[in-house]
Amino acid sequence: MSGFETIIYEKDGGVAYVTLNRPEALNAYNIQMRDDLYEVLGAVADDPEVRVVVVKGGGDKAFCAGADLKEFMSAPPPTQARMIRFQRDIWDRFSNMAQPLIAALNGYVLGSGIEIALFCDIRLAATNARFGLPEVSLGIIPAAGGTQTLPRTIGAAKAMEMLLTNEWLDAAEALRVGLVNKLLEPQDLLPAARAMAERIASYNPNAVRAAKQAVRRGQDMSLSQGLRLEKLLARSI
Amino acid sequence: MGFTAISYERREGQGVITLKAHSGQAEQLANLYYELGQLADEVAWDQQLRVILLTASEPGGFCFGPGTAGWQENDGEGRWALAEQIARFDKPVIAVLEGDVFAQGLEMALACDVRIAAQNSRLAMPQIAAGLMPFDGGSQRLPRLVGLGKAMEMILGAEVLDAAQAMAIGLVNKVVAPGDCLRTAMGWGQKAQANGPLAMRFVKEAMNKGLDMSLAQGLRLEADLYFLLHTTQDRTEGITSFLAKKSPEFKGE
Repeated sequence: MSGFETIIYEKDGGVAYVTLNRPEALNAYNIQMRDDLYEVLGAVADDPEVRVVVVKGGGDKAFCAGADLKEFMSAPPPTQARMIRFQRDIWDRFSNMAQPLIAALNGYVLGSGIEIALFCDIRLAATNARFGLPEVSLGIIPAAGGTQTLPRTIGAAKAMEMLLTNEWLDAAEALRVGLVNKLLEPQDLLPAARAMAERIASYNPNAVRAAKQAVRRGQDMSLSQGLRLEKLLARSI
Repeated sequence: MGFTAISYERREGQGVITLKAHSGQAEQLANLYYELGQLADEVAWDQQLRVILLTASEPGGFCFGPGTAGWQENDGEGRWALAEQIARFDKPVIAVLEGDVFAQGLEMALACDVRIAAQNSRLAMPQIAAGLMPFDGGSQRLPRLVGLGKAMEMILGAEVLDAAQAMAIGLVNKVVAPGDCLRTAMGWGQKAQANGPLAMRFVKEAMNKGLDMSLAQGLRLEADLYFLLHTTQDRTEGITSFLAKKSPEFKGE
């Protein structure tokens, strides 16, 4: 798969690498990137050869520094915009990915950048990574799932603190609050993501998918429903 | 506004609620309950208000209820759902915690959105020591905040945590020197002045209500609140100001 304006897609064995590729704009998320990602994620979901996905940012400075605000002022009327939101529901695609997603986070991880990272299952960060959610200072709220995925990842209190005070977290604080799983030196970030992805890709893919589903879906259920789901999934491997 | 159990004032654009000293008597708690409810309804109409601070007039103001010194059961008359009134505030609430934060005082703090505690404060849920259990949300909010393991330790074992331990488990967001809590909280409130007031309310709603839903349902709630903000002037003001590298002037419209 090639020829995307804002994404680079590469496959290496069982691992797919999705690079947010607008380094001149710090990989800012825009309508074109939404459309490119929507297509890529759909193709990955349908590709049984892909066992793990690594999501990373092009260039050295950023994973993704947020949404491209210049497009915001020409947004269609709210009722239309809402319709489009659910017609091309990219966050639903992220949520329902059968394959595990690993985010490799360097530099600026702001706004939609954090939100994309939060839809991944595992987050590896470089020591130079900085995390922020500036939406409320613009009079809006995170709309790429952040109001849901952030509290589910770091708790409502820490999430509220970030949004209220507009403080950016450095990598060490991100690790402390559980926003990321591991810290690496910048030059070690991609090798570590690759090594982890290849390790997961070496496991029985049915077991990997079933385990991810059990954890993800189970979070939305009562414990007894989750235990029943786990039994069914375990038997299905 | 004629309150007796609390005082409320706007300070530097922030809403500051101060719990007045009480001895835990049923009548005083009844007043506190009704006054908090009345205030919650009134400040909902304050479109410019971004953030509320909840503090006490003296250290230990959040230390009352079963398991605390001097508490007496009043045949159930004293059971006022104070934390539930706190939960009604639609703006983010910062709890300012000096001294001991025990029992129903901790339950009130848990109904706030973030918590700042003094270094010498202690936090506990000791109702079990009086042969009772939390009745104002503690058994629900505490495990959702700090996890079941730590919540069980506190609720079943009446464990008392110091501020550092509370910080380590996420029970409080920040620990500061005694006497500095209010100033620190107002500093956070100052930062919040840069934010859109409607956005602040909607983000609190999206997070708190969303956590009670499946992720898919929560994502729809988020989308609905987001597109509602599309209809506001504040959104236009926020984005055009950012692009023009100016400070926005939000009106809450």
